[in-house]
Amino acid sequence: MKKNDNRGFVLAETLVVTVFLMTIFSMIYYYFYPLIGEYEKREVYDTADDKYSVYWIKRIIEDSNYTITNVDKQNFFRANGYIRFECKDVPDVDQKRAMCESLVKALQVSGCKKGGNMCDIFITPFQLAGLAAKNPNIHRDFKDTVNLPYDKNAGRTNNAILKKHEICSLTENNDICGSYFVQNCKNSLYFTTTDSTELCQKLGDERVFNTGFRDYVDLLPDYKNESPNGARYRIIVVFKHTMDNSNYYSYATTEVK
Amino acid sequence: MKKLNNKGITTIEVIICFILVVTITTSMYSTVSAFNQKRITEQYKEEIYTYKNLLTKEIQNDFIKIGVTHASYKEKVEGYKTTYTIDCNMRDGTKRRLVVIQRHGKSDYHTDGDPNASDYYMIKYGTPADMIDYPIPKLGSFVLPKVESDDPAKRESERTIQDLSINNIWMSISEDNNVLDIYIGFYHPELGTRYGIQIIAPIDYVASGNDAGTNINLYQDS
Repeated sequence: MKKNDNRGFVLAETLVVTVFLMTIFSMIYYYFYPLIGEYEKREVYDTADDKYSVYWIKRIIEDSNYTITNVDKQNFFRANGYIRFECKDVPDVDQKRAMCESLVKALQVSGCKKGGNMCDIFITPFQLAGLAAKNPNIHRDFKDTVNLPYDKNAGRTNNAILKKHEICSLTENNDICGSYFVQNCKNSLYFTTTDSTELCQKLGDERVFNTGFRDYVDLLPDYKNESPNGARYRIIVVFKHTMDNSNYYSYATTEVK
Repeated sequence: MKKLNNKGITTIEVIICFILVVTITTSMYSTVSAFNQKRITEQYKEEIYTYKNLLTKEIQNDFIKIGVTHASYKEKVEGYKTTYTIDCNMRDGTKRRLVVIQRHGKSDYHTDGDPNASDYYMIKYGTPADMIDYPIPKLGSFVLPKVESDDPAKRESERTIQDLSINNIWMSISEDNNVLDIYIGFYHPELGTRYGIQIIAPIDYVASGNDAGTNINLYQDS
């Protein structure tokens, strides 16, 4: 009968296998753990509450009384693929402007100042990417605008958009934009203090799109095909939830006919 | 016959292997245990989301499809029980009522609760003649024992405390009477106060334009 080889593993073999297994487990953990973070991040994307909130803003935009006649705003839309929705553009017919102000406040839309202005409600083309290549009037897709790199010393072209840039024409320089913004911002503050100018200057130099917003927009589809409902625009809204000691942002979007 | 090689492993080898196995098992156990806890928490969240989405849909469907023309709010306190009621007149002439009843039993969660009654939370919604109960999900509970004392103020009855409670209720109608704002906040020891129901709708808002789409034209010169 052939003799059985019943020698066990030597210590070195055991160690090699253990290290190998530990490496595999570490790698699994390393790649798996960020997925939980991703999941938690997506928990605040397009929740049912936010979808209803966005619906009411969409209703105001689809109201035939709502128009944008400001040429600078129209040019800004074509250059950058978005404009900000503001209650001051809602005509004061049937108390609709007052309702708009109360609504954005109740909905806890981020960034809102007095009069329902400067809220983080962005009107974009329905297509978030691929439109600039097809439509000569649109110079940059919204997804590209959101992801513009930030260089403090660079000019306005192809540099991240700052809040003060939204209020001036495309040709005006940073200083003029800044002074417009400070003036407008001071009028929009709920409480005016001695350092309002400084506060507004700081606000004007902030980037319009923060990291959380960029992550959300990157995750949205490009919507390259036309809307089956005939929608031409899209709104993307940032909410800042502060009820019941909460403090977090959430994001939602819907199409606008 | 050739002698079998029956050398065993040394004590040192056994100890080292044992330590390695114990280390791996312990780290695996804590990881699996943490994930299991996360699974339970996610299940709680899922139940809250299902509940709040269902209730929100019922209410918002009426607000969107019919429309609110007028809303009024009242709050009634009876001992430890508080009843919040929102009455809405709808555009089609019907009425809708939302009632939230909140009674905390005394516990570590709500130290100012009723020492002689269990937690009771209920949300009702519908027409005033046909209210439908929407009991909040049961995500665990515990029973606090009866406390005997010569001092009547220190006596407590046996009572059941729910882990999920209606913690904070905020109902308001804006100053201009044009926006209805309802917030029903939940508290759960694992989830905190983050998960609540928020229902906001304009009052007596009629959009102009007959749903024809927006008037703005940003693609070309106007």
